[in-house]
Amino acid sequence: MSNIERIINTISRWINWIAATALIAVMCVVVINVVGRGFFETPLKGTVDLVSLFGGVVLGWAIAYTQVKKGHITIEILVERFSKTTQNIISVVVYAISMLLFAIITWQTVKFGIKTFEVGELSEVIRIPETPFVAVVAIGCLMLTLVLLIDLIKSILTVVKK
Amino acid sequence: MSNVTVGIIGIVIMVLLMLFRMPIAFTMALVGFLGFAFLTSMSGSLYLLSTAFYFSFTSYTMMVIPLFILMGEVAFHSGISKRLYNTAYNWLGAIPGGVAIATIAACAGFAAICGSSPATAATMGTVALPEMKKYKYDTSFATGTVAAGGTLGILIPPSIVLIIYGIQTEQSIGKLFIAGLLPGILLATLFILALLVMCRARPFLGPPAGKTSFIQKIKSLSGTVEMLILFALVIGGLMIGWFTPTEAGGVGAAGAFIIALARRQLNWQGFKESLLGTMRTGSMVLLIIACAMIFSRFLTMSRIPMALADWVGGLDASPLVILLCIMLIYFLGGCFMDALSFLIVTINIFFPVVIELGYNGIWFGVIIVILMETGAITPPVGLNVYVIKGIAPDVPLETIFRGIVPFLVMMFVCIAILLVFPNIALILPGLAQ
Repeated sequence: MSNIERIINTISRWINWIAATALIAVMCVVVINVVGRGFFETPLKGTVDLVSLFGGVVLGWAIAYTQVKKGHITIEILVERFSKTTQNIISVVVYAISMLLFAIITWQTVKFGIKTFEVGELSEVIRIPETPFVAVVAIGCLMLTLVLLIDLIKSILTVVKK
Repeated sequence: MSNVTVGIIGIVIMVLLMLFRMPIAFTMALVGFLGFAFLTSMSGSLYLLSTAFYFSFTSYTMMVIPLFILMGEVAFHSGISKRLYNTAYNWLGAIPGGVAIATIAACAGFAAICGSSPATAATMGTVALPEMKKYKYDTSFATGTVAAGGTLGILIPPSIVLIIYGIQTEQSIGKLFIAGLLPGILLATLFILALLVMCRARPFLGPPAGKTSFIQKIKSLSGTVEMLILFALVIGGLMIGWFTPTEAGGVGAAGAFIIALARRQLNWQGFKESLLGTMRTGSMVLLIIACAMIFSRFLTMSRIPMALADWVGGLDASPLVILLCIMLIYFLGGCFMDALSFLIVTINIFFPVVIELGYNGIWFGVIIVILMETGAITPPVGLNVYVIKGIAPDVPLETIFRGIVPFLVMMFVCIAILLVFPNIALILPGLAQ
């Protein structure tokens, strides 16, 4: 169990760094475009395409690690008043629902990716295929699902041990 | 069952799930998905789910959010706050309550390059709290000052809250930014007035610090020059129309990096931490927005926003009373929930009502931000107060919450002034047209 958890957390951390690198890339693309347009009258062609598609990497690959770090905002004021056992049981239910939800989201995003592949969807200006970026978002959702699965298993183990 | 009833049931379930500690984003996606499926069809709802995340994440407009967060994070990790504080201290430290006044001034300055309220509170807190301790400032007074001063981060542009408000309500982010400038200066001035009055009445709260020479004052100004340039470039460029908001964010983040590197104040560790902080906040906010998109499709389908706008339109109450009720809802919502999440969840419900009442969307954005600020410092969920608690762990929470009271009053005074003189917010955006 702890091995699987470590692997999933490590992958989440890695893709989070890739996401961070993509954000730096977005920043550079934007600045090159602004400088090119402002000083040399040659804007970078396809800036909007590049920024949008990289956005899929920046955000899609950060959501899982944010869940590892419990960075997705929750409201604590009610549950923290309950007993530890009640809290644990609530956690099991909440993680189960959340995990299912993102499993469906992953599945649907994959389906959408297949559709864009069949249609041959291209970005508007510089004609980059969109399918790889849908795949990136799907992988991000899959990783979030797996992190939630680990959270679920861990919360079940806490309840059972008690 | 009417669509509105289904909508109300959906909202109730969502609130229950939130109270059971399900992440706010997830509750919106879940209820939005199930509700939309109930009102239309399962296949339609699954399709909504399949595209919502891809379209929200790969959006040029949305990238403005992580870029501005990055700008603030880099500023946070690169010691700009220390220099801003030094400048303000050199000029203001010698008057009674001067170190606190300098803190507010430095917060306002930092807010001009950072669009986040907890980040502003955190960065100024680490610099200013030890100083106020050194000069024997009252603890409650000192911590309250930093927690409240930090909230200027989201009123003085750039502002993450105004960006999100702009995206959700389709208002111009550039106009919202410049609309926040004068109210931000007004609020900072009100804070400083409150500090002056309090220290006059009770001098033990903030004894004056040592005098500084005129030469020192002039010299200290150099610490803020690059910040002013960056602010002028980003906000000015946005106002004149050089940049789109996304470009302004990119230029701002790059500018913050250049300043930090030129001053040799951003090491590898700081660089990594600013990136990690950005990814964490950025992905949290964007996931909420993506999920809110699913939820708002359900909401539109349930016709609640229209029904509410109609109902309010038919009420026999004056628009001002209704507006005050909506403001009260945001104030209370901000007390019990993370204010930004509350904004994203509810803005699609209340914005049409406010417009129906005949108020200006840009002006309301500024009002909303000040209400978000009250949410950041009021119990039980006052984010900035917890940030300050993190910096000064030995200070009890009640002490900090006691310290914010005068600032909270000033926020309400500021809202009242804006209600009477809406032009304070609207004059600059008007010039930009």
